[in-house]
Amino acid sequence: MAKKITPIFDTSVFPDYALQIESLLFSSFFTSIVFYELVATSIDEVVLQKYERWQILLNKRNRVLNPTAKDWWETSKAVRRLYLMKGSQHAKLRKLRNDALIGRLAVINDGYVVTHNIDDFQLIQKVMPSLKIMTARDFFEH
Amino acid sequence: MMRQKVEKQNGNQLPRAKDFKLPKRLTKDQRELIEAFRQAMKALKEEEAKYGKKDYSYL
Repeated sequence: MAKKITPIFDTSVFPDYALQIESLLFSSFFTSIVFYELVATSIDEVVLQKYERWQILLNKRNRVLNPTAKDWWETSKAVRRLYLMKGSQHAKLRKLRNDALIGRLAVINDGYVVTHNIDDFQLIQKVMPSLKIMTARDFFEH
Repeated sequence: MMRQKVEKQNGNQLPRAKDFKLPKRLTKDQRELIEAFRQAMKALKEEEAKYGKKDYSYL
């Protein structure tokens, strides 16, 4: 029997698997980073309002994970380790901050990241060895 | 190939979506959250249909 650790979704999986995520609302965690990415890329005011309502209700149920000062610090050190690795692509590291924070929140909350962006999270795994990840396809379709 | 690689790294022990279930009886608060999530996802999909797929990688 697999241990029930908690799935944590990367932003990219939401539009593709919204229906399935609906039945996982009470058994998953949602990160404030995902809300940041959804809100920052929203265009219409009505969309922003819908996100806000969803976020408020999730917060009320304590399902939203927020990075603390310590999480920022440890994530920075992890990304630094990548930066210092021989042959690291510095341009790519600039885009990893949010994913690295999601990874950190998964590690300290006994969770695993469900994502389409396996390559980025595998890179983060090099400096966060206890990070667990799963492809969205494996998680939702197998 | 990718699946095998990821499973090798993470073990094959992580639960899948099918391993989690909604509670059989939902409270008013729970129903409210589900409805808010539905509305948010509907809005996201409509916006993507209108303006194109979102790219979160540059944030």
